[in-house]
Amino acid sequence: MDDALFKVSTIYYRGIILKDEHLHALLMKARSGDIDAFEEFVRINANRIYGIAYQMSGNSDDAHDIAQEVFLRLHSGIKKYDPQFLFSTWLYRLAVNVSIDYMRRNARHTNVSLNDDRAFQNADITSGPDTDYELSEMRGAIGKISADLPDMQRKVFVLRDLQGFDCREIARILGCRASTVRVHLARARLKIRGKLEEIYPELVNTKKL
Amino acid sequence: MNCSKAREKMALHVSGDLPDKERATIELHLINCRACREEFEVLKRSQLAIVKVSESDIPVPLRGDFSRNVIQNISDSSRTPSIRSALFGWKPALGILGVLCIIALGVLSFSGFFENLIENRMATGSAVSWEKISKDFAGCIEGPYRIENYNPPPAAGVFAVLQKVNGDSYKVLYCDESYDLASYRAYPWIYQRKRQILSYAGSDENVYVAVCLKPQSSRSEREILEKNIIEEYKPQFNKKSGA
Repeated sequence: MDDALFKVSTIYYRGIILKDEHLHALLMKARSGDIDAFEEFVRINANRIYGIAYQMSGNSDDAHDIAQEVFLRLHSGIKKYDPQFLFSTWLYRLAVNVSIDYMRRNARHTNVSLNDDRAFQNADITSGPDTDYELSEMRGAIGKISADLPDMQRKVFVLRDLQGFDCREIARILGCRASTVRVHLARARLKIRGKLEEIYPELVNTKKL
Repeated sequence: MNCSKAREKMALHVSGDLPDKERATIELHLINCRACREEFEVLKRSQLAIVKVSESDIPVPLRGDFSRNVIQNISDSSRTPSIRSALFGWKPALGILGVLCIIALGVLSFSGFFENLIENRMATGSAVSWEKISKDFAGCIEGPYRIENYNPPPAAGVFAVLQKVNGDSYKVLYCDESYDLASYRAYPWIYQRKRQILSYAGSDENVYVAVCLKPQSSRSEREILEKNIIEEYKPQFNKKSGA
């Protein structure tokens, strides 16, 4: 993989655009024992990591716990961080892996029969959800479907479709080839499309379009 | 290209994730295959729904004190030195001493020394007043409720199962935390330890529960309180071997 192709992450914090370089400097200070620098690093990255954890786990309580665990593990392993690698790759990989471990440990995700689930059927699938209510329903439906995806498909789906990383970035984060990411992404999307059709038959009803 | 293969490619083409060299092939297939054209439209609608969800805000935002809590947890855990630093961090002589102590502890543990010690401690009783338990729960405690009559609320918290010894004195038998006290896995009384606790306490009339509700807490916060209670009371049923 070509390092130059991996975009520098841009993070917005209190209206200021921060690049990896600033966060890298904070991490270096934290590495030498500066706890204030680490707190600042946590504050800047917390929402992104919480977002990944929420989309991986599907609920806010678990997402809080997962995000806490990510930063605690980050701190305990900070001495091992090799500055020649982008910290963001390391951080996001930790976030998806801790999420998967957490869900396994708590074994709370179960197979959901969407055939019997009428709770999500009010959203308009033909034009996409627009109101808050429709969005909330659709988020619930997609969350339930993605919770049943195999681990790798779920990681790729969350990072690509919900977090907006491109396939090369995801390959770096997950430590695999971009072509592998594409294979898992395609499978995840086809499964989600199939499950959405079970809940919203009008997805394939072309007369409604 | 067959339609099955085309479907996988379409799932990527729908968001521009298909490499350039494969794009022309799939577009040609779409021109010639009506069924795949229809499927492509379905995939576009499915993807539109996903995109709209991804662009919306997460319903429950991160709590404002999050970064402070992380730092607090780091400070708490750093007060407990790791085995490695305890043994090898300061001076090799202390490390050797540490190794010898561990060997001695192992021998004593193997010989049942500690089991006898713990049994003696339990036998002599370690009942304490409700006031002390309440204080150790940092004042957020509710109870004591007869465990048979108590319905836990669907909220996060830390709970302790108590044995009433006499009057206002209780022995802490078990302590745990849960993100949802009403969920099946939270409540040892309902399933796994019921028989053991009953047998130990003699009668369900003696068994009570105390609860500290922490609705907005993270697991780490709850675990700190749970750990403190376990360290203070060494509950019988928190031992790995059970009763």
